[in-house]
Amino acid sequence: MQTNIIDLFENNALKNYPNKTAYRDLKNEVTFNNIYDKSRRIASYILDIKNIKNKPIIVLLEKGVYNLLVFHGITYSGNIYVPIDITQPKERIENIISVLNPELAIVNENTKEKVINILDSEKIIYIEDCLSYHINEKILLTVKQNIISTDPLYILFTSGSTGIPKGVVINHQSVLDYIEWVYKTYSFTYKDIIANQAPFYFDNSVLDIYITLKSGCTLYIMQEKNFAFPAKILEEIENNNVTSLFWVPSVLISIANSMLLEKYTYKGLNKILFAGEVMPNKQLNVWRKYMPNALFSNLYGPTEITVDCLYYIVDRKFEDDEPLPIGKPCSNSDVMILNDNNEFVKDNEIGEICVRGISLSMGYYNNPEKTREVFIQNPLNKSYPELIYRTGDLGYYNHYKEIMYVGRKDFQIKHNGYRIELGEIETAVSSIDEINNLCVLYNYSAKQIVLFYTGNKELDLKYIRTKLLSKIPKYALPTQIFYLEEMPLTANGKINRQRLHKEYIGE
Amino acid sequence: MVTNLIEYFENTTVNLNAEKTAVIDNDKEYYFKYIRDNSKKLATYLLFYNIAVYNQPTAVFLDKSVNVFA
Repeated sequence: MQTNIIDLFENNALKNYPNKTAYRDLKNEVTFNNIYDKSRRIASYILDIKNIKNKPIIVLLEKGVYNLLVFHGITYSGNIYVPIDITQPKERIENIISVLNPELAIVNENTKEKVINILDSEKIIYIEDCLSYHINEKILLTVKQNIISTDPLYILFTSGSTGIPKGVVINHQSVLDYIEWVYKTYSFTYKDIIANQAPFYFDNSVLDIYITLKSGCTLYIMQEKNFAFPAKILEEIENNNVTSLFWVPSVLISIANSMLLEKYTYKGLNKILFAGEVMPNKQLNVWRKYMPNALFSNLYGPTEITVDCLYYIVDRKFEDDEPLPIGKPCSNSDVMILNDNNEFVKDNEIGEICVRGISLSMGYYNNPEKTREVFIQNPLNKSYPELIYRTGDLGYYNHYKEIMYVGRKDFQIKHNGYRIELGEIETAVSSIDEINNLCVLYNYSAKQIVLFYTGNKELDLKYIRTKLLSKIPKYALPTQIFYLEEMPLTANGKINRQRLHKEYIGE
Repeated sequence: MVTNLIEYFENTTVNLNAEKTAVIDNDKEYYFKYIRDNSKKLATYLLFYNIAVYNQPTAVFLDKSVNVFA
């Protein structure tokens, strides 16, 4: 029985493929044996300077192989790793530190300034010192034997509505369970090469990292700067013989819109997974046309339920303006769609997506109030304690009994007395040929449905409204449009809705 | 990953040892497949007549015997 991530690594990739490349970036490459060696040096260093267990340790490093060695080193030390986005404003890093009160921060010469005036100097340690430290076999054995499956593995920070970031705590068991499901469902093998796009502070990367430790495949960390250029992304995929992707749709959309797939001769991609945003069928159909032998899968899940709880393997044709299902629950997860009265919805009735099972986060670190708001007793079970997570996302069952994503509960607006899902408008707009990428927001003070779009040319409002009339009701048509040269993206690669709101709507 | 006891029972025991003795009751031997088959019959009966509801307790009033397992 595997009780923690160390078991997963040592019983699988390390045992079966010790000398095979595990992680690779532009500059560095490590084998599974190297991971075993370096991460235990890091763990020994941590434990020799502080006798701590189950404490958060923040990691401030540039994205790359060393980042991952540090995560595993912290795991071997029996503590919780917390990846920090080093490009975010110092104020946000301060907020995260005030929530966590971390025991240690692991930095390098380039990143130390981010914490140097915030944390005491004895709490700041340098990766270079850890990597060359001697391995303390005795203490590592004791720690490993004492890690239980419900001990926290990592904390990822999401933005909080009050401006205070929320630290989502995920334990070993949830990741073990998720990775076993990924391994079986998508048949990853040691032959696979995964191209990593997701930043390590974004939970899509959890699949990339741990399926590597399970299957013995290789994780290639893509160059972040290339993501703005579809031609470079495709070149990098080909040059590195990539077989599998788990990316946010925005990147796949920009590649499809570039028309480069038509001439792309590399046919090595066999698994194309995506999550984090809605994937429009218009662009997915382009991918499917030019990669007919690849498996495409739409996954869904908030950080609070360990990456994904629903999935759909694309198995039938879709029109460009049809929405793609988010599918059925992953193994060992149960997804319930509840209406406002906390009852199961009927077919086609929209309700909130709620999740129960081992995938649930342990809650928000040092934030019992926010935890209690969304991790609640299952309203359908009054007999024994059982938590569910309210995602704040809306969905319904289609006639295949697949779950369809509608949008955020917060994206449901009341406009001129009508209840409207902004996601439904986005799906309709995505079918307009001239539009490549888009986002719909609501201006509450001016009562306007605002469409932002990119495309080959600027379109007028009347043209767009006429095109949409056959797809959505008149009251849901956009009333204001903005043509953008480029869609702003967040560091995760998703559309930056907050920035659009701030710059164009000003609320 | 094994997620429930049915998987555990079927994958680790019944499929490998279907014709091996699982229980001896009053000097009579019962194979693993006997327990599996009778458990399924009972489950089908309960579900068909809507006697058992998902995730609700079902009380068992039986003498101690092999049938308790089923």
